[in-house]
Amino acid sequence: MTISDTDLRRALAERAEAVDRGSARAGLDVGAMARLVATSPISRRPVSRLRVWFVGRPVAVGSLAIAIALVLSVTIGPLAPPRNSPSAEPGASPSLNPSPTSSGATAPRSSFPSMPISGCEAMGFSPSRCAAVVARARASAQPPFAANEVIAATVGPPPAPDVSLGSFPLAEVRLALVGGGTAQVVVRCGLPGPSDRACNPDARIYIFGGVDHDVPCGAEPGGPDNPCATLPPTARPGSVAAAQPLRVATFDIPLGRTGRYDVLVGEAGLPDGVLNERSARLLDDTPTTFWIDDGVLINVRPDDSGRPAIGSIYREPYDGVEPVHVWLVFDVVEVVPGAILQVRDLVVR
Amino acid sequence: MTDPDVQRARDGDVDAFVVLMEHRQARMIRVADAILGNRSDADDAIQETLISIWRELPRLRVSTQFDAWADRILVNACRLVLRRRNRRSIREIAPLGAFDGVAREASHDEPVAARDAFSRAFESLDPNARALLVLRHLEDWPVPQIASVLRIPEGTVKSRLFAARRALESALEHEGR
Repeated sequence: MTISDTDLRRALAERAEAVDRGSARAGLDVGAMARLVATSPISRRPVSRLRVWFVGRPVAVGSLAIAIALVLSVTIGPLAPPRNSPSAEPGASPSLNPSPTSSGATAPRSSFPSMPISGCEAMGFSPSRCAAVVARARASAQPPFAANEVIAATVGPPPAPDVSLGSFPLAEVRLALVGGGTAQVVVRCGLPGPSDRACNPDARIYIFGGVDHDVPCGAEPGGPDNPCATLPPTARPGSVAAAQPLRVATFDIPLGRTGRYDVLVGEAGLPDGVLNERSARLLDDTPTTFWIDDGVLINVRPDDSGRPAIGSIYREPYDGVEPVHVWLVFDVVEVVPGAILQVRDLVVR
Repeated sequence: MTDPDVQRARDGDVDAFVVLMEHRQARMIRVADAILGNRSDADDAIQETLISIWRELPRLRVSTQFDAWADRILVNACRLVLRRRNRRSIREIAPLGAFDGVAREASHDEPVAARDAFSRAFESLDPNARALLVLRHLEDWPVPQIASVLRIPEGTVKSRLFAARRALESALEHEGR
């Protein structure tokens, strides 16, 4: 299948317009937001004297870079091996501390970069959280730094609290760069997500799916004075009897790489097209051999390409049992060889 | 937008900063919406972009490079938001986008399905591929400008664009099966 430039442009434009139109973005006033930002006590970056001094002095920069690298290698251990990933680029995957099986000279290559981090344990953070904080610092820098661009990091207390704008400073991270420079980044946290290892001390990988309910009438759905939330439409008894639920007790997925996974689990038949349940659990939601950001989605896709996706407001009841395929979709951001995602008790019906 | 605005904003002039950002409003919203696919994430990316621009502006030495520099911050903010947000649950329920290249004159239901298919296919791409397609095909940026903003060689832009296009077509094909 090919798309013409015209179709692609129109589809992208309409997609952007639909987001804007669908959300009635009348409330977004960039000018007002800009004024709020500029009048808040956000610390502005001073012009770096070091950086200015570097300009026009390539020889001196090169010498200084070598000197810093040598000093770091002596004082904080051997330099981290570069990440051997063709996709490594600014803003690339965050990192964890290496697991015991991935450290050492004979350990297999993995996507876990080992990087000396100092000062972090004094902050009361676990090693894995320290690595996540440094990874967040790399990704938050402007421009972001890839893992193989940073050879060491120092984590310290944040500067004096500044305006929140929904977030607070967690730590200040000083990154020592391969090229010889340094960068300081303040890592900020808002309300952390469940798998946010930098900001959530109890980060876990989660699996999600759920079913669609109607929009509740008030702020407290299900409360005694607000019985407005409604269940999905009830399927006809004949369709329920003919439906084919998918139940999988054990489903192990070997993880051999980082990146997005689309894994087919199986087929199911939904009565009258109604999804009543999609659930599962992870055997280990705090693994040390891999990490998944943004959870594992139990994705139910209708076989009929003309049917809108599960959850779409354009979905209408199906006449009979609607065939669907069930996939697990997730993004692996770190992995060591041999890691396995262990899914248990998956149900789609 | 003029260089003096950038100069004044860099020196801490709030009004000049507001003018700069107001000029960029439509462009920021369009790009963020197209890359991220939902309003909440797009708004977050724009807010983070404003904070970063204000915070880092004193270090921008050449004011004529402000546009490319600010674009780079926005695109990076979008990529960052994509990586760390749980966007799939939103993707599941939002009828985003539109793609009627398949059945332009067809019935009412078919374009809806095609739009959903395009959204799912586009959202299956990695953040860098989404950004590249949006900048090239929605914003009509020339390859050298994209290379400058993303800080990658022009040849890399071309090859990644090609790969992104193929990935999108493949995903659409998958959706159509």
